This record gives sequence, structure tokens and C-alpha cells, in this order.
Amino acid sequence: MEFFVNNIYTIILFPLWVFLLIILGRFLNVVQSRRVIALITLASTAYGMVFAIGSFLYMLTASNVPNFAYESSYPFLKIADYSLNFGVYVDNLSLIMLLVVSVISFVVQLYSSNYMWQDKSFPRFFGYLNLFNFSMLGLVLSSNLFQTYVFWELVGVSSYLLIGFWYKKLSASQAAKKAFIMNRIGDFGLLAGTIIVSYFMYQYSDATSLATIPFANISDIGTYLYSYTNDTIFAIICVLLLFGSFAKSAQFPLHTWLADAMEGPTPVSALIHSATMVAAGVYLIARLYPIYALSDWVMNFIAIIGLITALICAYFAITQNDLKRILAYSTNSQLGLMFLALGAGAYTGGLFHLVTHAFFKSMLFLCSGIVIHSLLNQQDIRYMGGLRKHLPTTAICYLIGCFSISGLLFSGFYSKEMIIKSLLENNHYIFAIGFLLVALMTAFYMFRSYFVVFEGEYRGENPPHKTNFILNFCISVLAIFTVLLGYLTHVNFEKFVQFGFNITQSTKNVNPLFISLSVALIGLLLAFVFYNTKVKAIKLPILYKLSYNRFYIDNLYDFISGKMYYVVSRLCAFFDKHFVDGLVILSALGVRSVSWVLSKFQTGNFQSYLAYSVVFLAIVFAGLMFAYTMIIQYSLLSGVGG
Amino acid sequence: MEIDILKSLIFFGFAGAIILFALLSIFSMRILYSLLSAVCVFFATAGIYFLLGADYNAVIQIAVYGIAIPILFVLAIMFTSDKIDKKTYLTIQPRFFFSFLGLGALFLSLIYLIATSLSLSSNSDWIMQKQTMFINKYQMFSALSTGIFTNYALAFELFSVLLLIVIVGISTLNLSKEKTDD
Amino acid sequence: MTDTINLIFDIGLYHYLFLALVLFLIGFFGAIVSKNILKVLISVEFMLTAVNINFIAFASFFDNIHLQGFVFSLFYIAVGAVEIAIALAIFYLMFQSKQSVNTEDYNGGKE
Repeated sequence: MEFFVNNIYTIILFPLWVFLLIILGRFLNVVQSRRVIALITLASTAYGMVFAIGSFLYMLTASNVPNFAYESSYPFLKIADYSLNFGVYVDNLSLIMLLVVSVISFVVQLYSSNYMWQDKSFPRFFGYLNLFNFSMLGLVLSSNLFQTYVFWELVGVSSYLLIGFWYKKLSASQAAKKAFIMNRIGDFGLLAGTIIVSYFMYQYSDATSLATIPFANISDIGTYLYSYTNDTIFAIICVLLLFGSFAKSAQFPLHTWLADAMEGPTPVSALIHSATMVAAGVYLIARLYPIYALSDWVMNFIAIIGLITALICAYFAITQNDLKRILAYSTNSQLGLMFLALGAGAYTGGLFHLVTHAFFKSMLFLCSGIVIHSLLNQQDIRYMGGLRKHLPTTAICYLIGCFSISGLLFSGFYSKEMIIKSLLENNHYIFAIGFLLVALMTAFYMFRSYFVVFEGEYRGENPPHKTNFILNFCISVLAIFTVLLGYLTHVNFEKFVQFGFNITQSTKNVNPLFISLSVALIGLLLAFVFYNTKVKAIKLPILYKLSYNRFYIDNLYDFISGKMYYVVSRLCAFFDKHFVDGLVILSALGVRSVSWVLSKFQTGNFQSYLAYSVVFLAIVFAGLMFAYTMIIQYSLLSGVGG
Repeated sequence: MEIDILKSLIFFGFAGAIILFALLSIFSMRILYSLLSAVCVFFATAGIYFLLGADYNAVIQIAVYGIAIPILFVLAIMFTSDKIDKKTYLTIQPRFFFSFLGLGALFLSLIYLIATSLSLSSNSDWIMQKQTMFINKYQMFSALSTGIFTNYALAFELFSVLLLIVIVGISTLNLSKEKTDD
Repeated sequence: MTDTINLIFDIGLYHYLFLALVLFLIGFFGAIVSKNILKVLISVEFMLTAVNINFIAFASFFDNIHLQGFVFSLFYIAVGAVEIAIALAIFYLMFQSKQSVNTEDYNGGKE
């Protein structure tokens, strides 16, 4: 068992090797067969799963379960006593993330081996999937913040490559660009924060080995940082670090990229933009939790941003007509809930929601992929309907997912219960009200999408195609996970998640069962009434427009980055042309004029050259004159000669 | 202090003549006039040599500089200038003024340097270096002639070789314009 | 007053050096300023004689044992004469192609 933990770094290297094999193999025409590509990809992920399970079992049997940690890292950059390490850090949190990432990765890869089989860039897709696998595993297992940053960037790159997979479509490449640039905005904050923290650790703390910000000693780092900075600077540093999480997990105001990221293939949306990459932001917050928990302001900040995101994205999701967009906004909203949970102190609840959300959201996306594929790439739900008869398995799984995300049944119920419970216990009443509002809206739009797509009459043109066994198998596996994960709470999930870090638990014991269930049921009922019966849906004019156009935030960003930057760039171009180029022209002119002057000295006349020598001699002798004066004075002073 | 009036008179006469004729030489319009003034300069320097007690040097100066070289110059002038010399008077180009100023500066600095270097020498009467020796002409002649054949024989022989080289060299130069077949 | 008169009119080494300096500078000036090549050569001769005056002045004031200065100035006169001969020969060669004694026609370094 210990073998799995000691060699866990191999599960990062295996997908990298497969990626290189695929990409270089294409160049060298060695690896051509699609079947082989799919097989080795699945093999690498299965290998990762085996190791993850093995390490998890090892952790269970280890003696110090709440404080389990295994670290192995080596310095790769060493300047005097400042060193940056690279290695693996395995503790409860990373094991949980590892399991989630491996399993979902495996299922999605199995799904996409079938889904993308007809695509002519199938090998490239699988190469990118392996790259993403490598970066995500590296991120989850990394031992310090610098290494996390490296893999953070890699995940961003993989996301860019995968969103823009069909790069010939203009909207896809624009969406990829948008995602990458917004991620970069966050990365700037993350890097700045990392460097500042590293600086503080190097200069002021007792151990300069903390300069690489290892996660094993994150609470010490937090204590040092808090003691050496005042409140404002501490808050600024935390906000900078949070930027990264906000951008990666698409929080307000950097949330616009996630909806556009649906331009990528559906397996990409399932893997990256519902389960793993966007969860990386939450993971980072969980890792740096000891630092953030020291300042109440920072925690409130996280929670408020999370709440705002959750509310507005749920609001947007109500009126969308594209199936994948509805799911994208629901992902965004649930991420906001996770941030809200973490910020409000519901650490366990937030993380558990992360795990359950990963499973049912990816299942929902895979179901939507099946629907879209069977209707020949029709994504608008107004042209769907009554698909329950044609795609029964899909409908059942989708229904399970809807119940789960609304918090009514299965694992979603348990995770949302956990969150609202700790919110009410810690007296965060405003957050609780916001949470319930979001739950209402979530239930409403999810069931709206279910009813519009799967119930009623079919509104499209072409009859739907049948789907095959493998795709159904994938979503069924995820459905089983969704159903069963709920029982983990009975096994005391907290034990697995808090690694020696104590969050103050309130002594109150509230049972919010009635409130949360009733709120969700109201949402369900409203959706049922409006979309499954003959009652026409009400369209409130202004509110509808605001929601449908997503508060015009997209247009605002477009305006800023387009029009305003145009003005700025015109200014810069003017400056560049006249001042910078002017400087260059000036220096060229200077040289030319000097050389013109010097060329005047080049008469062909030898007598003028003699004249130059006269002038030179005059200067030399004048100099000698001064030298002689000094010599004379010196000799007079010391009484020599004369 | 006693001044030897006659000596100073003679010196100033010859020195004035040198300077006057030198200036005349470079500022005269015609090349022949400048040559004639140059001859006067050389004769006057021979006078200076006599004052310094170097009779033999003076005589050689008159013979070589005063007679032989003007002959060479006259030959050159004869063969080359058949036009009016107006065009080849002095130039009014910038080098005139720059060299004038430069030479003035050089003059001043050199005067200063000479004065200071003389003042640093061991002798106390730095400006009044009197002639402490008087070499009589026979002494000079005999010393020179014995010197040429004993101490400075090598220099004498080398000089004769130099003359030989010059004669051979000039005779191999193609000084007359030959008509080529083209 | 009498001191300066003594200084000026009591001939010493300095006067000969001064004379040689002035003659040298006049010759240098003439070499730069003259348009006629032959005048340039004459001015060069002035420079040579000035140097000679220098040698003989120093020799007569300081050297009464070996008489090196006098001997050297003897040879110097001879070498100067040889040099003039060569210069005139070269000048004549140049004159054959250019047919002019103007120094401005001999601009060799401008192209």
C-alpha cells in the first residue's frame, strides 16, 4: 500500500508521456491508429485511478488519518538559502481531489473515445486530453504554491487548446482567447501574491525553507504572514492570491468566459468546465485556507463574491435557450455556492459540495452531449422536447442530476444540507437567505431544462437518433456515483478533510431540513407548472431582458476592451511613431551631422592636414605648459632645484 | 652689468635680417623673389654661425644652402613655371587662420617651456648663459677634420653611401617625358 | 628698467633659441599656407635651418670637448641638401602629369 503513495509522482508523468507520444507520433507518423490512442489514454488514466485508490486505502489504514501527509520534494532552483522546490504532497485533500479527477477523467475519456470518433482531429483531441490530465494531476499533487502556479498555467493552456479545439470556427477561437485572457488576469494576481508571500517568508520568518510556500507548513506561513503585516496589507495579499481562484473558477466579475467556453466539444465541458479545472480555484482556496481564515474581512470577501456570482448566474440561467449554456451558468452558480460556503466557514460543506457537484455536473454535461449528438448538433432547447421516449437512459440520468443539483435527493441533498447547516449554525443569516434564493432558482431552471427537453412534444425537424451502449454506460456510472456519494456523510467526511487545521465549530445544532427542502420544492413546482402543463410561462419584460442579456456585462467588457483600448492604442501608436521613432531618427540625424562635420575635415589637401597637426601640437604643448608649471611649483615647494 | 654692444648689434642685425627675409619669402608674389629672399635668409644664418664661433659650419652653410640649393630651385622653377604666379599666391582658406592661431599658441607655449626648462637647469644665470668658452677657428677646423677621419668616420662613410644611393635613384627616375606607342 | 634692457641686449643662449623658434614657426606657416609647391619646399628649408641654429647654439654654449654638435650640424646640412634634391626630383615627376605647381591640383586624398 505504501508503494502507491511513494510512487505517486508516476501518475503525473504517465499522461505527459502519452501526450508526447501522441503529438510526436503524429509528426513521425508512428501512432496513427485511433484505437491505440484511445487505449493508451485510458490506460494512463486507469493507472492513475489505481494509484489513487491504493493511496486512499493506505491513508485509511494509516494511523494518523486527520493529519495524514506525505511529502517528497526537491529543490530545483537554489540561490544561497532561497530555494524553490518541486515535488508531491499527498494529504487528505489532495487524495480526495485525486480520486475525483481520476474517475471523472476516466469516464469522460471513455465517453469521448466514442463521441469524438467521427471527428477528423481525434488524435489531437486525445493529445490535449492527456495534457490536461497531466496538468490537473500535477496541480492536485503539487507540494508548494510555486509548483501550483506552474501547473495552474498549464491547466489554463490546456483549457485554451480544448475550448478552441475547432479553431476554424471563429466563435470557438474567440471564446478560447477570452477564457485564456481572463485566466491570465487571475494568474497575475496569483503570481504577485505568491511572490509577495515568498518574500515575506524569506525575509521575516524563522525558516527560509518556507520561502517556497510548502503546503505542509501552510498554517505556519499564515501565522508569520499575519504577524508581520498590518490588516490592510494582509488583505491586499490575500485578495491578490484570490484573484487566481476567482478567474479560474469564474467568479464575478471574471465570470463571462465560462459560458462562452461551451464552444468546445461537450466532453471538454464535462471534464474541464464542470468538474476539474474550475474546481481548481476552490482547491486552491482550500489549500490556502489557514492564511485566509486569519482575517475576517477576507473570508467575508470570498463569501460575498461567491454569493453574488451564485445569484447572478442563477438569474441568467433562467432565461437561456441553449442547453449547454444553461448547464454552464448552473456550474458557475454552484461554484459561487462553493465559494460562499468556504468563505462563511463551511469548509467541509464546501468541499463535499465540490466532490458531489463534480460527479453530477459532468453527468449532466455528458447527457446533454448525447442529446445534442442525437439531434445532429442541435443545441437550442426550443427545438427539443419529448426525448424521454427516444433516450430513456439519458432522461433518467438527467433527472437524477436535476434532483441532485436542486438539493432534493441523492448526493446533492447531503452536500447542500451540510452547507446550509453550517451557515445557520454560525449565524450567517444573510448568506443563508441568499443560499436559499439560489437554491430556488437552481431548482427552477434545472427542472425547466428537464421539462422542456425531455417532456412534451418534439419540436425539432429531424427525428432523433439512437445512442449507443458506451455513452449510456458512462452516464450510468456517474449516476451511480451521484446516488451513492451521499452516504459518505455517514462515514464522517470531516475526518478526511481537516488535516490538522481546526475550524471553530459552533455548538448549535440546527436542522434546516424543512426550509431547504421546501424552497427547492417550490422551484420544482413552478417549473412543472410553467413548462409541463398548459400554463404559459410569464415573461416579465425588463427582468427577462436583463437575464437574457446577462446584465449586459459581456457587452460592457467588449466595450472596454474594444473601444476604450482602441483610444489608448491610438495614443500609444501616436507616441510610438513620433516620440520613440523620433528618438531613433534623432540619433540617426545626430550621427549623420557629426559625420558631415567630420567629413569637412577630410580635404584632400596635405597642407590642411599640416594645419591640423599644428593645432594638435599647440594643444599638446599647452598641456605641457601646465604640467611644467605644476612641476615647478612642486619643486619650489620642496626646495629642489631653482 | 656690461653689455657687449657690438655683439648685440651684430646679432640683432643678422637676426632681424633672417626674420625679415623669411617673412618676405613666404609673402612674396613671385616664386623667384621668394627664392632670392630665402638665399638671403641662408646667408644671414651663416652670419649667426660666425657669431657662435662655428666658422666651418658657416662656410658649409653658405656653400650648400646659399649656392647649391638655390641652383636646384632655379632649375625647378625654370622648367615648371611659365605662367603668372598670381594664382599661386597665398591661400585664404580656413587653414590660414587656424594655423596662424595654432602657431601663435605654439610660440607662446614654447617660449614658456624654454624659459622654464632653462630655469630648472643647474646654472644660476639661466637667461644669461654666457659663452664660457671661446673656440678659436684653428681649433675648430683641426677638431672637425680629425673628427671626420677618426670619431665620425662611420658617419662620413654612411653619408657618402647615401649620396651614392641618391644619385643612382634619381638617375633611374624617368624624368623626361617619353612618347609611348598608343 | 635697466634690468630688462640688460635682459634684451645681453646676448645669451636664449636669444638664439628664440630666433630659431621664430624661424621655425615662420617656415611651418609658410608650408601650410603657400599655394605654390616650390614655396612650400623653401619653407621646409627654413625649418631645417632653424633646427640647425638650435644645434649650433647649444653646441657652442655647452660643448667644448667633443664638438659633437658642430659635427652633427655639418652632416645635417648635407642631409638637408640631399633631401631637397630628392624632393625636387619627385616634384618634377608629379609636374609631368599635372602640369601645375598649385597645391590644390594635387588633392590625392579626397576621392
